Amino acid sequence: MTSHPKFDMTGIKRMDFAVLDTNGYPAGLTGVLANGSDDGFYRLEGIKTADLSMGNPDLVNIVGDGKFQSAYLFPPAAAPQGTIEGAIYDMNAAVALDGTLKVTKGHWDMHVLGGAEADYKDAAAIFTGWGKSKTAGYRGKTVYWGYLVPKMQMVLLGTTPMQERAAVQARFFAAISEADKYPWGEAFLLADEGVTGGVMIPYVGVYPMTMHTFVGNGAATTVVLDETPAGNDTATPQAVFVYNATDGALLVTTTAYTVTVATKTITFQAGNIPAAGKVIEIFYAYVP
Amino acid sequence: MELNKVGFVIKNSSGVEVFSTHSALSGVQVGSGAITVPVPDVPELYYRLDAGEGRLTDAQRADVEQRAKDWYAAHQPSNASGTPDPVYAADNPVMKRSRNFTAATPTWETPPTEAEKKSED
Repeated sequence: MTSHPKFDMTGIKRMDFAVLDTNGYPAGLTGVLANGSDDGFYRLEGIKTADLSMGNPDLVNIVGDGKFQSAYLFPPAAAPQGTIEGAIYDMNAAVALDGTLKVTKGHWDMHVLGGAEADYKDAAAIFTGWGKSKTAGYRGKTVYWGYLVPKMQMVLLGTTPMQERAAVQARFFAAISEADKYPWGEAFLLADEGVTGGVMIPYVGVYPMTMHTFVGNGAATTVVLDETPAGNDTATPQAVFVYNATDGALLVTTTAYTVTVATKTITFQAGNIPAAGKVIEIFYAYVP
Repeated sequence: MELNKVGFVIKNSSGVEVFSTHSALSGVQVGSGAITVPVPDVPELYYRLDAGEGRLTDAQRADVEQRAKDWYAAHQPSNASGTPDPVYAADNPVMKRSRNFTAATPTWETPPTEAEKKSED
């Protein structure tokens, strides 16, 4: 496996997200999945910009003897925040994120912005852009990079100004919270990540990533993914990871499940069929 | 794996036998975030919903589940005794132009005669 930790960047390919359930696991647009159901991350189509960056650290200047002595940096005191703009107005996404409902009246779909009872939902998101590797021997090879955001809130603000002969864009405001684990339930560890908490996870690889959630019912043995996996569970590097979200344990390939790439299917093996209510998070590389 | 446009799925110990690319509620082709939901009392039967259709009313859920069960019963091999399988009905050009066709209760109807075709034109 070749790593590509240095890369140049351009554009934004897509943003996928899922509303978190009451236990903090991604669960589709509703944040609720019945036992036996499954749901992939939702794609916010037409995304144009995603301006999300860490806030500046707090700077403390030390002054003594009438002159500057030194400066100290402390971690940011504010959440990463910013705007996300897209060419497509998506009512389904808007109501899922602010906890309201879309209604259909006659010829029209509509939803209420700035609702008095709006209840901003937590979501996990994956932002993906293109890049070119700077790894020796692979310079110029296309890679996919982006941000994995375990916990954020995002609310539709409306649109950019309606203007003659100009495109109008939908605008979301987003704020990111600290998380202590990946969206698939695996905890950050000092031994592995060097942290026990954090807000955003930049990533890079030769394939983009997405996720799919399945809630067991003790009987269902198969899940069909939205995207075609870029390889299977036994390939090197592994393309499909299946986690028990409750404890973040990675299920054992072949023994617990198998992957059929041609049909995008995950099949749980006898003795490893998820019990009723067990949340399974599938994290995988897909063929773009 | 068979594909259909009526929104119903059969998954069993052999894998996914029938899959759908469309919503059982609205009939639209589903996109990312589509939900696959089990039908109560029929362990291998599921239906699909588009991502924005996750909050069904009780009446909608009951309707979808009943249609799924009807489709499932009609889809069983024991019923394949020369009767066209309703799973394909929505794709059939005759069914598409049938004035009595509804997604809920697909029925076969005699194709229109040439005289009827002319009168429709």
